[in-house]
Amino acid sequence: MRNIAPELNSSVLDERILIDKLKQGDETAFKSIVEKWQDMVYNTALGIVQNAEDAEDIAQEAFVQVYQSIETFKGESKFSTWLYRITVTKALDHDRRKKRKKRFAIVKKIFGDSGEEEVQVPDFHHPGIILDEKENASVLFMAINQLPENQKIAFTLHKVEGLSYQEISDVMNSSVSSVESLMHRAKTNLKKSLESYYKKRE
Amino acid sequence: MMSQENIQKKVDDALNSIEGIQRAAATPFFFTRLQARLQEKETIWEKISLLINRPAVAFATIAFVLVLNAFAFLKQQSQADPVQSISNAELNEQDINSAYDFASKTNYTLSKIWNQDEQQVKK
Repeated sequence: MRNIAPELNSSVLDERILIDKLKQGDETAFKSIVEKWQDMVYNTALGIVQNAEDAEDIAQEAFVQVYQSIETFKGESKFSTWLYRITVTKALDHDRRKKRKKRFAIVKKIFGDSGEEEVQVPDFHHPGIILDEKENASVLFMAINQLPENQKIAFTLHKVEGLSYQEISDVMNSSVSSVESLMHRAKTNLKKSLESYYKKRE
Repeated sequence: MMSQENIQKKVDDALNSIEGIQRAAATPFFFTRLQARLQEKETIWEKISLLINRPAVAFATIAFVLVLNAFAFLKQQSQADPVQSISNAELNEQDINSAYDFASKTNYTLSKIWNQDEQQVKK
């Protein structure tokens, strides 16, 4: 009979066994889960919040929630879908907090003595973009950041994480046709936003 | 000046720049930092500040205070009205009484004068 080593190996044990073990409070199973999905969670968060430190913070929060509420995961959807949902929710919460602070800063500026207009500058560089495309991608990420929440999520999950429309619809709890519609609107809005940016830069 | 064609090319280049993007990797020792975070325990003040910072909680508190104020104001008014009406009624009563008093006194005085006049005429 084959002896299972005490240290869990994610290549041997499948998703379901890992989750069952985590439900029993197995710390090693949690480590395997984190190591298996940490890049996926980090990359998703990074695509949404566009800041490395914030993305790391969100990824940690997401795994803390996994650890604390694994009992609520019934296995009706894929574990990765559940994990994407947690990450997206955390990232959006973070984004909303950041935007609130920004709005407050703008109000302060209006009532303050400085009357300078805020100019948006592309300042985020995704580490997964090839060197030649860094400048163009930076402008694109700035435009993505201006999209409405749903469009931003659909576009980021599709383009940055490479999910199919079906997978995105599972994460967003919507139909494939509504994801298609979101993607279409996102592309139209991005084109408008980019045109406006390049026209202003002339 | 950039032509419309050039702008369109720039837009297309930007949109295509994301194709072939590689997944960003989490920073080294991610799990170690996560473990440290899991062992951290939130203090009661951190929990309270997190709760207060929620917009829903903040708005609900403001709404509650406003409702409480409105209730207190309405209650105060409803209590103030009967007192005012009683005091008005009392005042009216006093006025009537004094007026009646004055009238009766005047009547008495007038009848006295008339009697005196009649007596003088008879004399």
